[in-house]
Amino acid sequence: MRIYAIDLSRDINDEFFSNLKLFTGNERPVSKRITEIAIELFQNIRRYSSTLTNAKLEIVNDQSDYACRSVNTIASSAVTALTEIIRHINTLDRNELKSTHTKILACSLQTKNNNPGLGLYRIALRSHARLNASFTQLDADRFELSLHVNLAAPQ
Amino acid sequence: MKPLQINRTDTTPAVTLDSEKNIFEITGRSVADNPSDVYQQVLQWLGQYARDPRPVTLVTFKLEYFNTASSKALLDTLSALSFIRNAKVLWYYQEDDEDMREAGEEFFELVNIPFEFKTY
Repeated sequence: MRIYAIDLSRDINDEFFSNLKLFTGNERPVSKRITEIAIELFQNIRRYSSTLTNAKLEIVNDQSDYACRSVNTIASSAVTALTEIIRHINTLDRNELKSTHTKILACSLQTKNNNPGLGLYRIALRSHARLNASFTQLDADRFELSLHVNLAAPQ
Repeated sequence: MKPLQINRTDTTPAVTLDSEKNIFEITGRSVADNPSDVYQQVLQWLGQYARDPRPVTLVTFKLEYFNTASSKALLDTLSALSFIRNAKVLWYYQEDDEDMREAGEEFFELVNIPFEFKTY
């Protein structure tokens, strides 16, 4: 198993893309999907983490299978909503996932609001697989979110 | 009308909106965490252009990557284009990039403007 750990301390730059390309090789559709998922996870971690201490974003390659794993600390108040979004995503088939993503995106045009969760729907669309999340309570205010995103072959 | 030219960066696209030269393009990556700096300028320019557009306006979108934050900004941009008479979107995607084609189709569903899908 090969593991590539992404540096979370620096913003996305050319090096981010070239390092991912080096790790994932030249199989372009796979490499591109991993990069898109990594971008979403990277920005979720930077945006929503209460701290970057102990935060992690890794790309794992087990022979021909890739996965993205992220670990970060989130506020306790976010756990219920995140759990519900991920549960909902995992109940949807691909067509339902697409149409839900479209509805949420359309909603952002009408309301001018950011829609938390849209990125998770996008990650699920790109991965073609269920999202695996676990929440570990650290203290009264914080949980550790561990998210594992496999890359399934598109059907 | 003064053209809008924004150079590409590691995370934001190159933008050329030039009525005189008939060039309307957004190309490259759009993955900034907050892409509004770029797209606010685009929206402002399009708002002015819509008052006196060319007879036909073909707008090229040739994006390598875009993130969730940009998808909202792109939707706003496409929505602004729908107010320009005889505007059309040329949505480019690499032949093996099913996701980018689907993303274009999703935008097409949401805005009232013709799209032409092209591979490169």
